[in-house]
Amino acid sequence: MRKRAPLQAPSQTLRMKIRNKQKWQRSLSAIIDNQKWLAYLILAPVVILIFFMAYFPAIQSFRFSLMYYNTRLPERIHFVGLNNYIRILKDPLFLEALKRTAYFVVIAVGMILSIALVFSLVLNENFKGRSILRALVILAWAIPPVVNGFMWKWLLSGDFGFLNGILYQFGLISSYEPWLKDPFMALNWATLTFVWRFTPFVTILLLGALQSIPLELYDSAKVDGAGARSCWWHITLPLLRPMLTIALIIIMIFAFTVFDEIYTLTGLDPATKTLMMYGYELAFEKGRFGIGSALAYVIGIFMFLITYFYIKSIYREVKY
Amino acid sequence: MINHKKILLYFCIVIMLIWSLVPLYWLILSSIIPQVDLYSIPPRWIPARITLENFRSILITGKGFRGAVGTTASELIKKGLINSLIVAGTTTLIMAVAAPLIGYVFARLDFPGKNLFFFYIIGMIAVPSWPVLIGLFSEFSKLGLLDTLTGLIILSVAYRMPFDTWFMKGYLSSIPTELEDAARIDGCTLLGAMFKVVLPLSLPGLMAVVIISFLFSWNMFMAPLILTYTLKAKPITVTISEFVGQFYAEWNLMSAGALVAIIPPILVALLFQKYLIKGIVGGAIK
Amino acid sequence: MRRRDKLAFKLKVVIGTLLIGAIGFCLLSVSLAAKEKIIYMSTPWGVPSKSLLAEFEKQTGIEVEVTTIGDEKALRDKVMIATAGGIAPADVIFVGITNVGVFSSSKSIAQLDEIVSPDLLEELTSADLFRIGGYLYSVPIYQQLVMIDYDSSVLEKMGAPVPTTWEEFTQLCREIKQKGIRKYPITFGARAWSWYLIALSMGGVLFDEELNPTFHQPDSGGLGAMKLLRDFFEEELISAERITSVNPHPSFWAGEAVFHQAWQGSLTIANDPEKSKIAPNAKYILLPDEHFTWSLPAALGISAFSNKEDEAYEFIVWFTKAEIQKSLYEAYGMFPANKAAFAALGEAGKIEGFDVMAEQARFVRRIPYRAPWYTEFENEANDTIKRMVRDQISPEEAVGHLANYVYELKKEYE
Repeated sequence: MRKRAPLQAPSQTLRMKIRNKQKWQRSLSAIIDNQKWLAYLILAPVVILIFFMAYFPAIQSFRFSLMYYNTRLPERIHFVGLNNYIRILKDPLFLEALKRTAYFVVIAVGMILSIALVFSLVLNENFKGRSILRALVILAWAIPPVVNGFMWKWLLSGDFGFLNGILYQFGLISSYEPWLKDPFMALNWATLTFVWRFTPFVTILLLGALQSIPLELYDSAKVDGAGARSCWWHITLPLLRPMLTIALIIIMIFAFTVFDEIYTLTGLDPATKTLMMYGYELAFEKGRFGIGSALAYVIGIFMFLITYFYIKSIYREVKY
Repeated sequence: MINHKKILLYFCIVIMLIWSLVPLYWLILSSIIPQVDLYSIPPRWIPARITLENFRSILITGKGFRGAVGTTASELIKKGLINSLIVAGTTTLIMAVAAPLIGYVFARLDFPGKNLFFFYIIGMIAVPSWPVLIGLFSEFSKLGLLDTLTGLIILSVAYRMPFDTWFMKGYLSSIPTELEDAARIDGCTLLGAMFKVVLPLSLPGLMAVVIISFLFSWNMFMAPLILTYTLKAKPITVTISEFVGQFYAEWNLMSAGALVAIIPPILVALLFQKYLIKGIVGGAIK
Repeated sequence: MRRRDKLAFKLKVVIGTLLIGAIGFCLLSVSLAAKEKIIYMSTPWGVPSKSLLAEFEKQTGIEVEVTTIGDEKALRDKVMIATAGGIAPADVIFVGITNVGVFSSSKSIAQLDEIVSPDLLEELTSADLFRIGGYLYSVPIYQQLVMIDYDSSVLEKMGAPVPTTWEEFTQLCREIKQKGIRKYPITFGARAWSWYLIALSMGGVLFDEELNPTFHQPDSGGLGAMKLLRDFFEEELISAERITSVNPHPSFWAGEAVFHQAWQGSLTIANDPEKSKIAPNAKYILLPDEHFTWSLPAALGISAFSNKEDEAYEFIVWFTKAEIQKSLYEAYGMFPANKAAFAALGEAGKIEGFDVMAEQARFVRRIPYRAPWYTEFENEANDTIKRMVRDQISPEEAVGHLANYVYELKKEYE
């Protein structure tokens, strides 16, 4: 405790000032010392920000989804109730887009999980240069999706692209092919572009899970005479399951909402028109804010359900 | 037995390297060799000669569309880079201060409606993107935030809230409370305890949050695409896509431009990979 | 007590700095908005050079900020979004004829009859095309007929005459490909414009006066054109890259093709050795068969939400002056809408291929750009054609589907 300077007899006004200051300080520290008020103080700007940046516009566009809103005909905006939703669900283009998106998501999940699993197992081993390899693997994830789409577009170019070059070099093809021509292949390539960018993220997730498996488990298993294969099936895989589930759900959420890459890779080409692309086209190119918003909410409901199960699965897996 | 395993391992390592690096190599190759070498069938895989001409032509001499009238390439790229840096940098700074505060609130404090607030913030990610953008658009226009860096920064900060809150909450929850309790006993206020004890301890986690915030903020595309018009506010993700459209079929130039656009995030990822990894793992587990 | 003092002080400092920062920021942004300024939104080929813009500023004190959007579709999207938000994306907007119907029906651009003097319109061609329902919506700045140009060196090498029918055209291209002279002799994008090009020149009318589709009828040029387009892709006379990258110009200027969908004035670029590898051999050919083509002029409009109409109008007037018009031609090959400037260029012999163009100009048809549903039709046509050339649907199905689509659109827009 420091020594206090000797007090001199304060004047009347000075005494009042000090008393006011102390009162103010008391209420201030009442705030910053009180859990409730501190919490509210800090959370207030956040709540307001998120309201205006997310929830309020969302309510606005939900309103739109209940109206006929064609930007070409602004005088004709009127309420139509759930009509847009019904129209969307019956729309054949919507079903096609849904099929494509489902295909995209399933393939993406399958590929990413398998590749990331292998990669993470490799990175779990101890070898020289392991951290360098890890750093290089992560690079793909840092690339802006827009640029990623462009990079693959160039790579697959039928004029002078890399894929053509290398296949030609090895004599596997006799002449350059336009890889994005066939609609089915175009969708596959779009999926691959996303897979390539997203795999590192999942690799790291799985790596973290692998590294948190205590080594004693393996040691005691070996003592009991277990071989490599049963170690894998009975120790590694079960302990990885929670993280695999989490990864699966994360991949699903991101794969559902891929936009940037497809936009630069093939634009609004019907072959790669997933739900996101279709929605963008409806809302921004055809100017149908009403139906576009309805479509987005249909997607949104999907996503919400997925997110819900995600959070639930985390809390459920805690008991592992 | 061991030999087999080693061979398999090295084989996998090679595959991993090829998988991760080849597309990038192609991008780099396309931008540093002269067009003639690039446009041959098949192209020269190991460059016989390296040239910086592509970069020069887009950054310095600033080739324009079909000539040099109108917005030039160099303007697109330079302005885009600056805008991206401002938006991503400011967002990161703001989150560096805000994230620990908010995480602290949820990790340490108790107050009515705590869970409600938490899900309010996290729930943001369930909101679908593009119709929100429409509503956001008219909001921004009324607030005069359209085509401004400020608007993008505000939006970017909002988008980062869910993940950063979740992560910091998890991270701070795992820090033992003894130190803070000790500080409080010594007469610290809650806020004081936060600043003096919790903040320094949470630095590694904070670094992770900051790095991830920077990357995601840099990579934003759809929102700026809709909310910006001029080079005043367009980040490089948007200008690069325009650049690619204008110079269609000049692949060497486009590659050079793309390379410039991805260098900052890649540098950040390389330099801070430790924190990046911590961020990814931590966020998902906790 | 001391600790609380310190803490309160710190808080004050933090709040103080934040406040000062915020005020400073506001002041900064306000001070930067002083001069009289208008924003001009355009595609890249509608932008005057920086020096010209600087001159304009000197003359009138109005600063022009140019924002370029890559293509007309993207520009249209931006304007439509802005309209939905009730704001002006720019004061002056480049209005390609493709967009005039949409912009006017959505009330994105203002009616200009009160502002524009009839004398100005007298000096310009194509003003009619930008009148809808009797109202003028934008002031033309260039005229443009769609044409076909070709690399004459290839035909010379082969000693082949210029084709005058689509059959001769196709046969010639097959020969070029067989002889290995060019792998993909034709460069047309897999999009509606290529279809229009072939259909109109085959004599098809596409739409009747009530804007009902006629292109799906069995004898129409529309169906015939679809078939020919499909054949071109199937026989690989057009590179499959044109499906995903529909812009045909770069591959022509890179010397990869022989025939190319171009525009009146495109030779300025095709024969400029800095911009094109086939210089100086590019020439126009009169469209085969019945020769009909259509026109794609562009104009400048004023945003309906702008509050700077006077300045915007000054800019537009300046834009139609001979000097500016000439510079657009020299930079982008866009023909002046200003009649006098056009004539002057012709007399100075600066217009290449003038004879073919004059001949071609006798055969022009109209595309229903003024319909508010036109752009949706064009988008759908683009998609449908892509699917057709990928063999997912037949040409008959393609035109049938498009015809149905038009009927549905018309019903909606009644």
